[in-house]
Amino acid sequence: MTKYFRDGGGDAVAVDFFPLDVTNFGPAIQKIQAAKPDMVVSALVGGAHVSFYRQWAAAGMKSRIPMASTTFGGGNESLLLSPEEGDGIVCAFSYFQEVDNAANKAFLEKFRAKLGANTPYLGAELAMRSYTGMRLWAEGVKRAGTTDRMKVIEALGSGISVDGPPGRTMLDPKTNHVTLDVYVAEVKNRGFNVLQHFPNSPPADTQSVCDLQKEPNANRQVVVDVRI
Amino acid sequence: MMRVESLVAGYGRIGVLHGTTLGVEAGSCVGILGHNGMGKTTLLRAIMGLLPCKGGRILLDGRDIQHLPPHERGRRGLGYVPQGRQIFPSLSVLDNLRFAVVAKGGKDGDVVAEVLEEFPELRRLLDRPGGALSGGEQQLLALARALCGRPRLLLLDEPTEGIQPSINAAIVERIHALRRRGLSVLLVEQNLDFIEALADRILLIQRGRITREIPPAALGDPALVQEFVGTSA
Amino acid sequence: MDLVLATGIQALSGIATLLLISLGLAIVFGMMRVINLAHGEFLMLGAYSAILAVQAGINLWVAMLVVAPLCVGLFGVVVERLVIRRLYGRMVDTMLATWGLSLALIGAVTMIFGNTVAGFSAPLGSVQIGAYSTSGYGLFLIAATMVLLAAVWAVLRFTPAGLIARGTMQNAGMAAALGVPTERVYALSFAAGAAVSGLAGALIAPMSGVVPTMGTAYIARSFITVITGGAAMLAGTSSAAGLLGSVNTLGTFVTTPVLGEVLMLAVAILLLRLLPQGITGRFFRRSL
Ligand SMILES: Nc1ncnc2c1ncn2[C@@H]1O[C@H](COP(=O)(O)OP(=O)(O)O)[C@@H](O)[C@H]1O
Ligand SMILES: [Mg+2]
Repeated sequence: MTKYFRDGGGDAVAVDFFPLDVTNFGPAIQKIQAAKPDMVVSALVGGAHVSFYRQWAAAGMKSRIPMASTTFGGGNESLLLSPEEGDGIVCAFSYFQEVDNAANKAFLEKFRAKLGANTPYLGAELAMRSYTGMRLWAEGVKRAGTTDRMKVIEALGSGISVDGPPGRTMLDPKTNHVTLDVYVAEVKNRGFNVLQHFPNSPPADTQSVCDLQKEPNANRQVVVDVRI
Repeated sequence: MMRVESLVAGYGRIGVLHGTTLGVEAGSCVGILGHNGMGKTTLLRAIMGLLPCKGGRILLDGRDIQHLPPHERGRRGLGYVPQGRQIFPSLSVLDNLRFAVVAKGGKDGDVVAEVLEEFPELRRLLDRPGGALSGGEQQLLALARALCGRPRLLLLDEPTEGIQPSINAAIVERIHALRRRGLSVLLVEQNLDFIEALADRILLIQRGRITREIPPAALGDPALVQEFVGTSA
Repeated sequence: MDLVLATGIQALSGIATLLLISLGLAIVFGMMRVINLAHGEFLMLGAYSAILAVQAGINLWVAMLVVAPLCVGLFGVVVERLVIRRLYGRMVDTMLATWGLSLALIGAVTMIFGNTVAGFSAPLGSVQIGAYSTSGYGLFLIAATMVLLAAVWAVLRFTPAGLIARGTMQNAGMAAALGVPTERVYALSFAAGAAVSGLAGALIAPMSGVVPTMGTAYIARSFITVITGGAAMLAGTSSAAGLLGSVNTLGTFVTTPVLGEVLMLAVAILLLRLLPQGITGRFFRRSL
């Protein structure tokens, strides 16, 4: 994140990490108040960390410093908060249930028809990504004409894609990652309000360090260099 | 008033009481004499229900109380002054006494005042934590506490253990006073003088059995005492 | 100046939270020498009771202060009947059984209510202290914890039931011989501990992420506080919460949140090494 702040012309005033079971964010909030940043970016995860957003709102900070998060919503955090606590947090994911396109509309209609009253809220990308992953595999099977493991893997590496509710998802043979659409949304009334759409975003960071076509049997951990 | 018949009890697989039988008539004081480790404490704990029994019966007023939990036995008239006194160490002396009244659902004020009439020594100690009393004071408190429960039969476990003679005399005198008002007593002891001063009947316990009754007169005879108890008086 | 005041409030708040989440466990441990590993889930149930009550239209304060302790207290009665009573005096078995109960509760709540429940936000707004602002509800939590502590102390110190509880805690066998139905005392203590846990869970609900697994974030902390405190349930838990809470909060301020946690655990371990019976094994031994 610090790298992206700098790339974008900003800087990180301070960075703190929190053990997963920390529930008291009073000291952290007070440190933020003292540092007076223009913005707070949270990468907090898990049920205990949801405490941060509630204590942030309770301390009256919501109207003073805007907040963005790379993680909020991935575990349906938005459902846990009241609108006063959650509304306005800015997040980015490759899908939100509120994404406005024809494929998503059709999908949600069928989804609701199938599950009726038990239809869950899909929120941010997690469920949709699992679904899309299965569809990519199915596409591979179709192209290979068999479920034989090696043949399917070969087919998956031949540059396949599926179109679906999130937009187009392309499997990148160089990294085994995907090129996909990314959406920026703000939390609104326990759901999301989509603000911006970035189609065809490639996994650029991984592509910068990994090429499985040149090095098909690579088995080392590659590290994206974010030194700044 | 109470009969114990062929009581069998112990700790885990270790048997201690192997068929103990005895009776306490209403208004009488029965003394049980026995060495260390003969099962005196075990007997009283079993009667009180603090130790599960494996056999035999305990009849109180003709009714078997074997299946009753300790507090029911307490409520039916058994009072217990245990070995080592077992005062509640962080309760004040007053609270130790009040506890015994409240434990049976009574109103504490009057009963405690009445009992304190008989134990004036405790008056100036009322605010002290029970754990801060001397052994003798604790013994008086344990006795007073048992009396706050208004027992009909008092179980006394070696009240003279480690206590100075002057307090022993006070206890003897207190118990005589209580007996005049109808209290029955079952006393286990090693102290010959004390048991002689109180008991109407004296039984000898050996290895968890009542082996014989000793006529009070025999306690004056050093040879007999040597034979029965193995200590000289 | 305002920095000192704001930091002091944070430290107090850290202490109060620790005390609040530990008190129910301390009551059960102090009275019965039972370690309830489902304690975290009792907190969770308290939070859920309050949230569901609010969703059902019950006033927020009634939901937190009445409904939650009542629900979890009643649940405690059931648990004591079905599980705890059968395992008295077997500490390890009880820990195992309550651990199983904790897993079962997480599973059951997830099945019934799903992974998420829409919480309510903290009432009472925020309070400005110079350059800092803190939540009014956080201040209320500090006050509520002190009132709760004082109430438990007063019950133990001044009521007949408290007298029975104190004596039974010190010598259960003697209490029974004097006429106390100790099983009932234990059942009531467990229910009271559960009710206090339920209240605590409800009180922290507006400030925490209420999910079925939320108890796991609290159980270790409350466990450490109670064990560090030792046998005296109020003095022990308060002194341990005071010490560990300030170490954690101030450690977090001066260093990082990670080191703040590490410091707190290090102090707890050091204390238990020096005072294996807990703080009240050595100090304030005769207190409650
Ligand atoms: N808690 C216990 N566990 C195992 N054995 C015990 C226990 N208490 C007493 N005993 C044994 O039971 C026997 C009788 O003990 P006790 O009734 O205390 O004797 P007394 O009161 O006559 O001195 C002794 O052999 C003693 O070692
Ligand atoms: Mg003995």
